[in-house]
Amino acid sequence: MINRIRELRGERGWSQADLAERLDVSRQTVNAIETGKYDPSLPLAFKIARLFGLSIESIFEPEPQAATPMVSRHPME
Amino acid sequence: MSASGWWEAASRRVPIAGWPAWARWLAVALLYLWLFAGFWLMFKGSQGIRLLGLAMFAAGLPLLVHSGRILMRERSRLADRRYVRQFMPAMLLYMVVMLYVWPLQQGMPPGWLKTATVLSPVVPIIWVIWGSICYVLASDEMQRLQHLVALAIGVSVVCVASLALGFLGAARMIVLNGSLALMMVYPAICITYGVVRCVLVWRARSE
Repeated sequence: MINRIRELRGERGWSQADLAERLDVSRQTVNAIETGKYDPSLPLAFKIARLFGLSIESIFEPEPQAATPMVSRHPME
Repeated sequence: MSASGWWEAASRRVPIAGWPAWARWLAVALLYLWLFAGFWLMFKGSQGIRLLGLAMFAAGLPLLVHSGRILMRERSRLADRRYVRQFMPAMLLYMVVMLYVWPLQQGMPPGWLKTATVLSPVVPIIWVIWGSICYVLASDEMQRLQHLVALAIGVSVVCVASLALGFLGAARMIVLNGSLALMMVYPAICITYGVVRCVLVWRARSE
């Protein structure tokens, strides 16, 4: 999942710790979400969207899918 | 002001979070050295030295919780402060019981008093476990996931190690002290859980 949290946080001049405090999570969690290491749950994603006054889909978007074949083949083939 | 409150205030006055990483690690290493020195004095010294060790250990206990936050530049949350308030007195009580109450059972005749004295260290440990459960339940969603993974790996490692030791003991290749082995289960889980959690936190915080 790609997100714009770092950008939105920067626009407001908040540190990771500031955002963590507003969301009632740890700074570590904010950092992991920003760097794409952790995808937040739906309730936390809604909380983030509400905090920034935006919709979820304008903050989070799925990573572009790599081109994969429609039919899976046996690895030995 | 409580000990944890004092530490919070001291942390604000000494801007440790603004120090470079090596200085923060060094400060925490020195503080842990202090803690272990106190622990060592408690079990090695005379009566007066033991009390000094107990005081050093008590003063160093908040570090167990707060040092991690200093390293990660985390602000202390309500759950952290509550955990310190539960963990500190429980560990201190455990040390006092182990130093001054448990040895009393040696001269006692079998009976309820001896049973109560022998089992007395379990009470503060239950208090510690209760504090840990409350802490995990108050953690945020990613931290809960880390707790779960760390506990699963930690318990698995301890299970495999105890199974291996059990087989070696059953084949009489090693001599095991059953009481000691059982008493080491909880500390072993704590250590393996702690190590795995450190690795998970380190991986999550790298930018």
